[in-house]
Amino acid sequence: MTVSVPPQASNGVDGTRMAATGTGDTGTAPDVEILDVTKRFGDVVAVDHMTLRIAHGEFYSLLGPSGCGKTTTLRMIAGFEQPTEGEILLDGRPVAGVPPYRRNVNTVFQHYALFPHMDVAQNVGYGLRQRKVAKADETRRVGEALELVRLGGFAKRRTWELSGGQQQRVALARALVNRPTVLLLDEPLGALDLKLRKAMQLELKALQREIGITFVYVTHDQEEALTMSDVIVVMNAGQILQQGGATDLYERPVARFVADFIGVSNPIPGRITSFDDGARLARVETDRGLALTGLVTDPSAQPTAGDAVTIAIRPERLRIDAADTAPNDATGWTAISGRVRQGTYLGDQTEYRVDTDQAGELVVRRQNATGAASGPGVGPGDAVTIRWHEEANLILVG
Amino acid sequence: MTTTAHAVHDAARPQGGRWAGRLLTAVLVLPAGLWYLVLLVAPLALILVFSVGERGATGGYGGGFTLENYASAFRNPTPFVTSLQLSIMGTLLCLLIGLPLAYLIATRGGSRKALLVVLLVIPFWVSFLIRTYAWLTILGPDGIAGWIGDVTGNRGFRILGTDFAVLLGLVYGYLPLMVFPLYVTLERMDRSLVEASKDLGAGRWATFRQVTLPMTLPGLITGSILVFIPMMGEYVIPQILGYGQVFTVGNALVLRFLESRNWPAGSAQAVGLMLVMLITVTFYLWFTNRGRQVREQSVL
Amino acid sequence: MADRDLDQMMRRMAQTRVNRRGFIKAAGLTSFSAWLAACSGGGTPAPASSTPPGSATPGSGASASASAAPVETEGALYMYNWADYINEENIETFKQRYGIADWTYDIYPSNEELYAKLQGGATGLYDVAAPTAEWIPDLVTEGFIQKIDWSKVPNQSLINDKFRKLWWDPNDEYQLPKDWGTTGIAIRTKYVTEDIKSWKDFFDVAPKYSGKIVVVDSMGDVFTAPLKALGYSLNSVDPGELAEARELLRGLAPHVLARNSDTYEEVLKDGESGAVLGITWTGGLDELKAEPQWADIKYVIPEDGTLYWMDTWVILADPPHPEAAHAWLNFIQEPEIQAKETITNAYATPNDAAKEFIPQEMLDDPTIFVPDEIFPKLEGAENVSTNPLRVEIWEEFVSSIGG
Repeated sequence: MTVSVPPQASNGVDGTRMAATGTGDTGTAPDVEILDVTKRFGDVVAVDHMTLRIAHGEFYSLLGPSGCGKTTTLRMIAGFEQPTEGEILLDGRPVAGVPPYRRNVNTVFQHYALFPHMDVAQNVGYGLRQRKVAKADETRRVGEALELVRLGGFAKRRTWELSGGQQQRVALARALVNRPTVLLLDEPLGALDLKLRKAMQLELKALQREIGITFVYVTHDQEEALTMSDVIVVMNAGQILQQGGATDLYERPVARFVADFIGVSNPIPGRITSFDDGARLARVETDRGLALTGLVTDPSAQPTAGDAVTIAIRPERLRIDAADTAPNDATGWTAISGRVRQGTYLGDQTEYRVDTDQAGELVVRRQNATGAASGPGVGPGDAVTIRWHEEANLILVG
Repeated sequence: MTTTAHAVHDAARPQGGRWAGRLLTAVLVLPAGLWYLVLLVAPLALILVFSVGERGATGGYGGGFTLENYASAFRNPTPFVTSLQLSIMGTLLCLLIGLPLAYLIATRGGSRKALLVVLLVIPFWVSFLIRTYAWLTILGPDGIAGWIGDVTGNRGFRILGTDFAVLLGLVYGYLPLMVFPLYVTLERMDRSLVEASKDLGAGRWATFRQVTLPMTLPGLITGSILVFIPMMGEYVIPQILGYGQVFTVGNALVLRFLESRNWPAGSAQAVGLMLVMLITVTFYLWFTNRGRQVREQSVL
Repeated sequence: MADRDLDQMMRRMAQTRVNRRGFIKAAGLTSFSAWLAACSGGGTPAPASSTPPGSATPGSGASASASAAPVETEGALYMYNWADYINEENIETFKQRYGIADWTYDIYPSNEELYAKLQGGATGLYDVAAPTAEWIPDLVTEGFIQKIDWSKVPNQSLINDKFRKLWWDPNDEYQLPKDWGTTGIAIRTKYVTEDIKSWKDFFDVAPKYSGKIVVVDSMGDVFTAPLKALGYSLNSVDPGELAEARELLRGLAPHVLARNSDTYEEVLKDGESGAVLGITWTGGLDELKAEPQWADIKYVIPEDGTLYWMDTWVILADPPHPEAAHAWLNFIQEPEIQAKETITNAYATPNDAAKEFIPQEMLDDPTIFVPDEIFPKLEGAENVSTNPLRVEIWEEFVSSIGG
């Protein structure tokens, strides 16, 4: 039930980063380029005309529900699958037909895939041995890699004696010791418990910063993606819906799917009445007759009057007050009345479900900044006023 | 032994519980214990006793004590050497053919895996003797050998009565015993280990050598022993397909037990066979386990 | 194509006289022939099962005794015998004449199995059985068989004197001879030009047909060849004689292609890619001869003498139906009945009176009957298979086959 993540908890990457990485045209080639790639398994289209450029040294997350094509994308980069159409470039070179063992990428597998017949050091040194690295070098580099993942004293241990978190680190060391251009991680934290997962998230991010290798991280957990990533690529049904930093995705979701998948939003259907291309602001009349102004989130959209759109409002942007205590309206604020159906105390915040005539059911979240007693003092059945500033209106086109 | 340990361990418990626990353990162990005693220990003990006895006046066992049976069993070591050669060659061939076969079924079988496994078993629905006789026709002058003879113009060409025919029969008869354990270990093996290996820079062969093969070792050991042991006692295949040109331990046992009705001599030969197998299998296990910790995963 | 060949071979194997001493084949075929019969709807057709039961030779008046007098039986007979070793018509006649309602015919594939079954406590379950003669002494010692009341088996008088008072039953108390046959030399005359008449000839020409010789997988039979070639008893345990026999066998071993009791006729069938010469029994050879491409096969009873085997009727200890058992023994030696046995089983009869009802070409066939001049030189097998020197020589021989 920890659906909500306050935006400020993410690492504060702003939208400018996206411009730099999106074009991929900054002098050196991106580490990975996926150009109009389609992958079909029989009749099933797993990846559908996908184009993505992954810049050097960044932490990328491929985020989406299961079956969205994120793992297939990862496996195509690793070389376990070949694209049906399109092209993949690693370090600027096409890799069609190049087997996994000739690609300078390494993978951390979902269930670690540690070799049970080898000890920790043998596991970590496996890649180096394939490259005929001298024994002394191997020992030294394995030692360094194990130090890096804080498993210094574990070299001679059997892998199955280790805890899940430790096995995870061995898998990480085994991949990193080869100094890959790109490290691919396939939901590597999925098998860990919540607390360990949170700790590992921060550790992974710190590690990535420290060594500067490009990470491509596949996850279905939006919180994980928001915590670690420089760039999050949201995928659904084999297509990229949006990519950008955490702030971008949360504050400026371009599609209804993104707005729902990352955080929670209140969708209100309506139609464009006017659009100001300069300010990217549009006026919308909702289906229930409410006139709202808001930002059109998709920078490339050119909506015209009459277009059907969705207005998305984050629950924490809504204010809730008892009907008789609501402050007077100020400029840019909208106020509607409703009736509380349900209030749920969640500790740090309280979630209300409010039935309104003008906007249907709305989810409202209120931070318990000064204790529960300081709240609006409303419960189920009470009449309330819901207010929000027009900055909270996100207009999703299409 | 386990019961004693149990009792000591539970000494602090009330008397009643302790006795009930011991009783329950005894009851649970009883069927397996009896089975072991009646079908394993007793016959073995009987054979050991027989092997140092003398033949009865009308055959069978006539009591007494002598070591002559062992002396005569080892006086002509040819049957042991012959059986050992056949078994080792047969096991190796089963391995060479069975491993790729099991690997293909396990990795490429897809949805037809079950069918392919069943196809392997189907010949076993027919009696072993009839299958072996069938080879007599297939390999004979009306079959492959005749065809080759016609094509090459060598009318005297034959396959039956050659080492090739014997080895073919052995591999045919015992291959499934090799394939099944191999298939099971390969099937159970985590596919992502192979991917991990390739991901880390190992090619197909390197992956097979460093990951698949060691992971298959328990199945490989089980399969080899399952194949090797019955081959040591085999005599029908060399007899029928090999035209009885070789004299195996199985032949020697039939000669002593049935033709001479000399149970003590047969028993001594059988003990000799067991010793040879024990030594071979022990050496094999030692060899395959050398420097590896597969022992705890192996079935033996 | 191979399927049809296989099918034919299996049918033939199931329908022809099973070679009684072929341990493997007998063991396989007892179950196999049943299986085949189930598939083909009767793999072993009874030659004259269409004969109306009532009309079955009621008189048998030619019988030498007063056996036509009605005999009281228990109405049941339990037989333990080799597979397909009685003429079906005779069974029906017997059942009719003696009012046998409960007829049981269980089979064993080898003397060893019969013996083992009796050791396991099968006495009292069956009335009659047909062990090979050299097993009689042990069966007597163990108390597995009982003395026959000859007053109830007058036809015993028809047995040839040659087969009386032999070492296995010195006073003729326990057995009635049933069928007998020989060990001899099989020759594909298409390939072997020499006229081989004796074991001595056989050893002389053997090197010329190196790699084309088959021998039965039976110690006693193979010892016959060198010992008779040397003029000794085939049951010899004399170390000096055995040493000479050993030399002959050492010379033979490298030329042997196959040691085979079960399908030696298959090997002989293969001719130039199989064997053209062999120490064999007679089983299967007549069937080969019947086919044009194998008609050149010849079975020679060596004139220096050879081994004969004898199957005997015995009454097992404590038979459930002793009257029926005796009635059966007497019935089966009635000359006309016995002749049918000989024709069906294709083995020689010890009953000279039966020869009158046997076709002349069968009497002249050396695979069935032995020429009169060689007859005195026949020897029965004695219990010498445990002699350590013989075992040693035999093992040496079979271990060095094929050179």
